[in-house]
Amino acid sequence: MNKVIQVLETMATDAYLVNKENMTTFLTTAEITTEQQQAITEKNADKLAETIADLPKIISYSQVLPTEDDQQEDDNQESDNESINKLLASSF
Amino acid sequence: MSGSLVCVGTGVTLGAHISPIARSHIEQAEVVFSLMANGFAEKWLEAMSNDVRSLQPFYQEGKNRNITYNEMVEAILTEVRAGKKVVAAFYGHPGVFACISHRAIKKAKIEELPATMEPGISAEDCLYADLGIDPGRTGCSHFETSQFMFYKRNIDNSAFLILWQVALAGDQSFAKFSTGRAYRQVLVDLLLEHYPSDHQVILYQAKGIAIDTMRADKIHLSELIDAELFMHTTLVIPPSEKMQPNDKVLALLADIDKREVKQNNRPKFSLV
Ligand SMILES: C[S@@+](CC[C@H](N)C(=O)[O-])C[C@H]1O[C@@H](n2cnc3c(N)ncnc32)[C@H](O)[C@@H]1O
Repeated sequence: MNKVIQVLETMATDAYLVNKENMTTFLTTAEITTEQQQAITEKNADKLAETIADLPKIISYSQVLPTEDDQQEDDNQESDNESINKLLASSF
Repeated sequence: MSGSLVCVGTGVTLGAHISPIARSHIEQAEVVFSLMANGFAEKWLEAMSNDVRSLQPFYQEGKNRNITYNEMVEAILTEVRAGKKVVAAFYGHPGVFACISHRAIKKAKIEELPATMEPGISAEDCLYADLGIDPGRTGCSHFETSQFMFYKRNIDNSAFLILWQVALAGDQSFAKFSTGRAYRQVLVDLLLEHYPSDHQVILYQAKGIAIDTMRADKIHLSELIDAELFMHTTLVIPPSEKMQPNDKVLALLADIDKREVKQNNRPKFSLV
């Protein structure tokens, strides 16, 4: 596992690291770059992200529609407009 | 060998929330599909299995999300049909405000393929902990924001109202990644029918990784129009009114109580 990711995982799972001093000691012994240590200390996720070359991009969060019916679940082929019209017709 | 599907949740905060069984399913799967909330979590998942495939590339601005979700389901089921042990890992709870896992499991079952879901810690769970809200205190209703706008709902302003996907408020195209001021104005106007404009609402964001700071910005309802909203922002609307006693039901219950007391006080006869 990437070392920084490992550090983030440890920080989120070890109650010992809730203590600031313990956290500082942990960071100095972790095998991560000074830049990464700084980003973590500053709690700067964007800066930390910049230090990982192949960090996957997140495009969207959404996983749910405002309105759903069984028909929709099978409507892969129809055009956007057709499905929206159908949805709206069934909703109002 | 027949394929199988397990949909698991990895929780909201990387590392902190994953259950032992979810982790074990991921580690033992032949193919893992992932829908994580940040790049760090996706990378973390990649270290748990040799074949992790992100579902993110299916998203496209301007593309109807219904099509996106069906494509994701098909990608997952293709591997299950091919006899693979498949895990679909979603951030949070895989079945909370998340239709992909429900659709995939439903379809797999129709095809008589084994499919189950393991719960995860959702944004809702974090919200109760971070904001100190007990949904049992006054009651609490949850809606997807656009659904709340598209349909006539009975709003109970003596209970908490939680609106999910608020950044997408009012998007009828299902193809936008965010909506603007005009859409939010409609939402605010709708809410103003039930709440005062200076009612304090909360913009909530749980920690995605350990170094994140939890967001709990308190703003007036009317300020929502210009507020900074992200895809992972949840709108929390605390009650504006006190719960009103239901006198009719209380009277009925009091009558039952009286009858029970009378019955209990009656002398008991037993046959000798
Ligand atoms: C499609 S739903 C997915 C919810 C997810 N399945 C769960 O269990 O939390 C996406 C919505 O969840 C909420 N959400 C996701 N991540 C969040 C976070 N870190 N903090 C607060 N709310 C979040 C937001 O309302 C967002 O628009």
